[in-house]
Amino acid sequence: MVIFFVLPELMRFNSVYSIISTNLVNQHNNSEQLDQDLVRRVQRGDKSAFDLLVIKYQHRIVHLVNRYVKDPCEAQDVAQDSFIKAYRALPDFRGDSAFYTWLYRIAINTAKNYLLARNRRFMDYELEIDDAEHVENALQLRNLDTPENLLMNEQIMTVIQTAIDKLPEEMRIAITLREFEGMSYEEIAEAMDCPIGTVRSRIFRAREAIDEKLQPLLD
Amino acid sequence: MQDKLNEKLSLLLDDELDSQQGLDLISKIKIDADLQAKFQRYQLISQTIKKQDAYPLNPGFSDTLQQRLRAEPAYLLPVKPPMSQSRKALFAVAASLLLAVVWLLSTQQQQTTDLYQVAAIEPQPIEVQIDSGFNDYLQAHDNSVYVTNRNFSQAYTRVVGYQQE
Repeated sequence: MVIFFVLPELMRFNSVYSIISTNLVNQHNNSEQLDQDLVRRVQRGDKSAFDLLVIKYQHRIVHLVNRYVKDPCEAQDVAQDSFIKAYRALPDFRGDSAFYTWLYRIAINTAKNYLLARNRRFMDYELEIDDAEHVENALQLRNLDTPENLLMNEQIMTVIQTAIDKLPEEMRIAITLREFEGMSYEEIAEAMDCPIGTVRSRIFRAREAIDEKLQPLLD
Repeated sequence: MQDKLNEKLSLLLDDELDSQQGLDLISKIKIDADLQAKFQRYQLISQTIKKQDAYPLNPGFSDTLQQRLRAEPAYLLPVKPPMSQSRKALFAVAASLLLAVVWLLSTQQQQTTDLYQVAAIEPQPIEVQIDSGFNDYLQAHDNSVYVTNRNFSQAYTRVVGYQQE
């Protein structure tokens, strides 16, 4: 919905798609470097470093597991199991793939095994790393949600949508380019013809504005 | 100050912090409940916008998981003890010496073998088997025939004009 609202404004930035994606690579390198540092610390016996990896990825893993295990409480238990399994397997992690890719596979397998063990029906399709978190199957899976979850989901989405709609134009464009298009700050700066510091500030202020509306709902 | 930290949370979420800054910030998040809650909400906002689906975490998710992790032993990688510089130098010298000794020995052995080989050579007698009938024939038909049965000498037979006569 947001993308259609913002699309006409995006059209003005017709140089967007011509920008080389080197920045995106650097961005991933930052994240992977941080993950590698944390993994090395865990492998040297620093357990607290794993908490940091949990903080970084808990939301993504819970979101991922929720696509298989529809009950939110069970999904969060499975997500926790996935983290525990990852922690136990971490000495064998050689860093051949990115940490998140590895963790992702563990989470998918844990969710499938959980459902098999519970003799539940689950979606027997393989999700690839790049498209697993996309929304194509969301509607299909949502049919299994409980009314309470559906209501909560709807409320959260409405609050966020309304907050985005009320954002000043430059903030709305910045957060949209970031979240929908996955563009790096440098790419957004080039697209919006403004300094990178301004992009940082706009995205941050957009998140703050949305968070201001969201926090009372979650509390 | 808090705004700065919150802005860094936003940067961390977008992978725009370098490794050291990320480590520092995540360490702060770990001990600051408000910062942790803020980061979780930022994550929720991001995931919801991206996926058009909202899955908020239970409030106790992190705490429960941390408790479970505390019960786990530390799984250590086998780490090789680092070698000191002096030991490395010692190994290098020892390896060089060993190499030099091996090279010297092999050179000397080569020379000795050559001498032995020269000394071992003895003149081999060449046995010339000459058919006595053929010898008689040659002598009977003149031309120049020098045939002996002595060692180290080869029979020389001149038969050039035989057929022409």
